[in-house]
Amino acid sequence: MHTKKVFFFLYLMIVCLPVHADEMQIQAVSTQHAKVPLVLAVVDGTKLEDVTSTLKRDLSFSAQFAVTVKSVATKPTKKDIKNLFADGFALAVFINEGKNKTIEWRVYDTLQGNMVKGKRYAKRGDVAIGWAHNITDSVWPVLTGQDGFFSTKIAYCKDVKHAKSKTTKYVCIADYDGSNEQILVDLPTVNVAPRWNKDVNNPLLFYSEYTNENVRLVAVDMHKRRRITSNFDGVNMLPAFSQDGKKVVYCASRGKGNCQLYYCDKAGFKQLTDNTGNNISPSLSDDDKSIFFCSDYQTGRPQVYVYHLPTGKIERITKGGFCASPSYCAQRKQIAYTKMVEGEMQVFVYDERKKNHTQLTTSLGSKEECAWSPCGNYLVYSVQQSGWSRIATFNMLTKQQRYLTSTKEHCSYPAWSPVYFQFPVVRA
Amino acid sequence: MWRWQPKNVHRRYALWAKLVVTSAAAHVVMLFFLFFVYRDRLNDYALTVSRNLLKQDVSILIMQAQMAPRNQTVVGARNTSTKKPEPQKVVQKKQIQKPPVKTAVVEEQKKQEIKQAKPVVKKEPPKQTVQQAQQKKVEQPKKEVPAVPQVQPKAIEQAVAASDADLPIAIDGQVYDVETLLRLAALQEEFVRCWKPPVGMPEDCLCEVSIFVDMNGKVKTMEMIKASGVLMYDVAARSALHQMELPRWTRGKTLTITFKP
Repeated sequence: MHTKKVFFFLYLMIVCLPVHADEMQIQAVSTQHAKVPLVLAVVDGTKLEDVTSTLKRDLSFSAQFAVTVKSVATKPTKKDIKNLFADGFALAVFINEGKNKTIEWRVYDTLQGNMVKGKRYAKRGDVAIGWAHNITDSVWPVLTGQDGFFSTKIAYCKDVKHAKSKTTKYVCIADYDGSNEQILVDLPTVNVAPRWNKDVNNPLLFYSEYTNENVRLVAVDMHKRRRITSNFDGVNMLPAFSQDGKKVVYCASRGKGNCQLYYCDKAGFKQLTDNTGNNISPSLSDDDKSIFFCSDYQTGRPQVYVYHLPTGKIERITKGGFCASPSYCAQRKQIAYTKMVEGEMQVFVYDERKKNHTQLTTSLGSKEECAWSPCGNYLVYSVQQSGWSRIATFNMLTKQQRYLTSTKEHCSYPAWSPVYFQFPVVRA
Repeated sequence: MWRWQPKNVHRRYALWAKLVVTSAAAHVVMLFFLFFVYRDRLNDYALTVSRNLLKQDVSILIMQAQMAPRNQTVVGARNTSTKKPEPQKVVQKKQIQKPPVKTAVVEEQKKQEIKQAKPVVKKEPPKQTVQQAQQKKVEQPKKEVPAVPQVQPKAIEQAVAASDADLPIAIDGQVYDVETLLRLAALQEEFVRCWKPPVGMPEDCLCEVSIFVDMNGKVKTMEMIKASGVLMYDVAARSALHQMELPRWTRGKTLTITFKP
C-alpha cells in the first residue's frame, strides 16, 4: 500500500509538471548572395541535346541558379532525389522524351524528395531551341514565382554598309539573350522603329520604311511576307497595340509637317492630338484607357504625357528636361523613359502608383528607345557611345546591364516581343 | 484517515482533497525549482540581423540591475531576489561607440557627479509571489521583447571585458543580460555566415521556418511555417539551416527563424 502511494505521488508530480517549452524567435537578414545549386537531369538524353543545352543557358541567364547537367538512365525514385540533396543540389529538374511528340519535365524538391510540379509539353514547331524556351517558360514560374520570357524575340535595326558608302538598315530578330540572330527585312532601304503586335498566334512585326515619297508603315510576318498598313503622306510610324490586338495607336504627319496621334479600332479612325508640336512614341496601358506618349507642344522640349481616352484629357508626367521614348509596363505599373542627364540620355522609371521618378542607369552612353520585357523584369534599349551603338538589356532585379550585340555592329531601335504561342523563327 | 480529517467526511471527498493538495505541492516544488534554482532559463526574444551591423550612435552603458527603471525588465536576467545586494558605487564606463552629442554631455556630467557621490544603498526590488509570476506568464504568453539593436558582437565583448561580467548592459535604453547578448551575437554571426539567398529577391520576400534542435546539436525536425511563395528562396533558407553549426545552448530548443533577403 505504501509503495502504491509513492508511485501514485510520483505519477502526479510528472503529470502536474508545468510545461515549459524553450522557444526562440530569430530573424536573419542576408549580407551576401549565392546561386541555388540545381541539377538538370536528362533521362536517356541522346535525343535532347539541343533542348538540354538551351535549358541550361536559360536557367543560368539570371545568375540565380548554378546549373549542372546530368544524364540518367531511368526515371528517378524518391531515394535518388534525396541522394541529390546529399550531393549538394537543392533543386532538380528532370526531362525526358515522351510519347506523341512530347517532352515531360518535372521539378523536384530534393530535401523532401517529392515532385513540386510536372507537365507534359507538346512540341510546337520543329525547332528544338523553341521547345527548350517553351519548357523554360513553364518551369520558371515554379522556381522563381516570376513569369517566363524565354520564348520572346527582340527586334532591332542593324546598319548595313553597301557600295558607294550607302548605308541601309536591316530589321533583325534575335533571342532574349541576343543569340540566334536572323534577318527579317533585308531590303536595300532604311527601315526603322520595329514594333511587335500582340496576337500570340500570329507574330507580326510593324516597321517604318523610307521611300522616295514618304515613310510608310509596313507589317511583315515570319515568312518575310510584307504588307503596307499605313501609307499617308509624310511619316507613319511607331504603332502601339492593345492587349486584344484590336486597337492601335500610332503617329502620322499626313503631310502637315508635325506628327499627331491617331487611334484606330472597329469603330473607325480618330485623331487624338491636334497641336503644333510633334507627338510620337505612343504606348498603351494594360486597360487600354491611357496612352503614354512623347510631345514637345507645351514646352518646346519633348516631355512625357498621358492621354486619357475616355475623357480626352492630357496630363503631363515629366517636369522639365529632355524626355523621350515612354514605354508602359503592366506588371509593374511603371513607365520607363529616357531623359537627358549631363549631356547623355539615361533611363528613368515613373511609378504610376507612387507618383515618383527613379533613375535606373548612370553608366556612360546615351540610352535610346527603351522597351519592357513581357515579364516586366527587364528593359531593352540601345546604347550609343564613341561612334558605336549596341543593344543592351537591364535587369530590374539585379540592376545589371548586359549587352546583346557587339561594338562592331551599329544596332538601334530595339523592341521586345510578347510571349508567342509558337517560338517565332524566320523562314525564307 | 489522517488525524486532522473530520471523521464524518466521505472517503471519496477525502481522496479528492488529497489529490488536489498533492498536485498543488508538486506545482510549488517545480516552480520553486524553475524560478530559484534553474538559472539557465531564457525568455522569448526577437533578434534582427541587418546589413548595417555597425551602428555608430548606439551608447553602451554598464549599470547595476538595481539602477534600472522599475518599468523595464532585464531580458534573460537571472533572478537575483534571493541574493542580498551589496551597496556599490555605480561606475560609468566609457562608451565603445560614438554616441550623439547630447548623450555624451549628459554622461560626462553624470560621470563627474557619480565619482563624487556617496555609495548608494540598494533597495531590494519587490518580490513577486509565485502566483503573480504565474499569472503574468499566463496572461502574457507572447511577450514582445524589443529587438536587440544592431551592435557589433566585438563591441559587446569589449564592453563585457571592461566591466563586471555579472552586471547587465543597457543598450539604447533597454537592459540586457550579458550572457544572453553574447549568445545572440554568436548566433547572429552564424546566421549571417550561412544565409545566402539568390540575387534579385524582392525586399518583402520572407519565409518562416521552425526547427527543433536535438541534444546532438542537429536539426531534428524542420517545418515551414510560412512559405515565401518562391521555391528557390525557401529551398535556400532550408539549405542554410542544414549548413549551420548551432551552438550548444540551442540544444533541446525550438527555434523559429524568419529569413529576409
